Amino acid sequence: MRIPLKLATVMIAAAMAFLQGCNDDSNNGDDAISLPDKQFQLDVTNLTHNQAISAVGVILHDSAYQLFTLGEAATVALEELAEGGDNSALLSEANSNGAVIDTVAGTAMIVPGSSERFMLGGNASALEVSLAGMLVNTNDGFAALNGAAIGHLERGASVTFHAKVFDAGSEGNSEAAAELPGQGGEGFNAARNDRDFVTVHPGVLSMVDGLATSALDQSHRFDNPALKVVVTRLQ
Amino acid sequence: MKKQLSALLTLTVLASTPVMAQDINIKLTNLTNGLYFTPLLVAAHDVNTHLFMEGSSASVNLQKMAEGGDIRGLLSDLQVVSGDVVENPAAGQLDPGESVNFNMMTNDSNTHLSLTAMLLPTNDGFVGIDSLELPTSAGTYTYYLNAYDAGTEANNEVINGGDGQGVLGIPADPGGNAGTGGTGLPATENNMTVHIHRGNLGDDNASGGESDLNNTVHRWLNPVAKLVITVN
Repeated sequence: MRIPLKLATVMIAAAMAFLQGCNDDSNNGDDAISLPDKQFQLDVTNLTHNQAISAVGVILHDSAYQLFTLGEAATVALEELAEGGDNSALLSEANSNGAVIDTVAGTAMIVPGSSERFMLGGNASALEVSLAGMLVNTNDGFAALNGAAIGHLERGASVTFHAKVFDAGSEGNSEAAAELPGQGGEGFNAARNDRDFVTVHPGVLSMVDGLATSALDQSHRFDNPALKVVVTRLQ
Repeated sequence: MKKQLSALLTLTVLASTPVMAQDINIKLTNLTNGLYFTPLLVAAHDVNTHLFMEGSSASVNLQKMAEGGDIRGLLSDLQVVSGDVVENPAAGQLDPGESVNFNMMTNDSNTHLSLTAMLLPTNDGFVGIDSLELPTSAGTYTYYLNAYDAGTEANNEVINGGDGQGVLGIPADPGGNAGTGGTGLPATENNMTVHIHRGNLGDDNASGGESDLNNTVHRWLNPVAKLVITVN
């Protein structure tokens, strides 16, 4: 839905640039006036057995943007995604970041075995893609790519990435129904009752493997990777 | 149990050698603690061939490999597309911690590599790589492989000799560490496409419980295999 509008904007901007004989070379994310000369298609597939992944947020950026840093605290926006599956703050913060070139929000959860396709466009000296979506039957687990380089892709070429599952470190891994959005429980809660730094996720235990109070069953267990991301440069 | 397994093994090594293009060496290591790889199928093929694809339903021939270790169907699929095939290079199963090393001559048009082997004991778990673009410059290249679930059989974790297509159950535990009398984990398959295996659950009850698998032996985390390709 966004694309025709953007294309129209780009065409107008290009026409204006031609008429004025000026060359706008800004790469600062203001894609209303800079001409995106690279277009990327992302196919994102959920590879888990039984962990739906919340609507993902996808961000095209240069190397100055960082979705998160392992071992450091998650931003509140990332916490909102990791605990509640809400990508809106993450994407609005990204959109106001000068290192971000384009963003797109997933339309719905990606259920196991299914895929969603995204289109992103823009240019920068070092193009990277980041994305994140919550595993909705975890407390604060999210599958993510954190700055995967795609600037080298030739037109028509593809590259495949596999996204690991990370733990936002903002909520203890109780696996209690009341705290799992996938079980009808609470999403985002501003309190931080875990170690408060992002780690690789240790996985879920489930009620059959030593955590009697867990609302999860053995089908919710997962191993890495959780998402396949195929990036194809269209133009 | 071992008898059943050996019935699956075929000992021929087919390395077709048409127009020589590339001479590569392959070393594959089983990185698990207690999982056995059934006879490996390794092939160089064209860019359009896939033995499996993540997020897509398994073919019947992939199902036969993943549920029973039978690679004959996948082998004939590869022969149809003139793949350069190495069948069962370890001459049987590849044990935990063991490696197999072999050479391949690949035809010009066979630019991609695929590999599969069933993981025992699992219901329909396999180690694999789907259509890896072969490096062409001389050198040594290392890849780590994941365990997949073919999505064709529920992981009930009961060892009953069930193999092949559509028989619920695990063929065997070659290591002899499994129990008996498991009543079976829920027989539901939530993701019926090829996906990342969630791992065996197992339990600590050797003569009952739900699972016949041993939770101190039969678990793993990815990666489950190391693949080293040397281009000469």
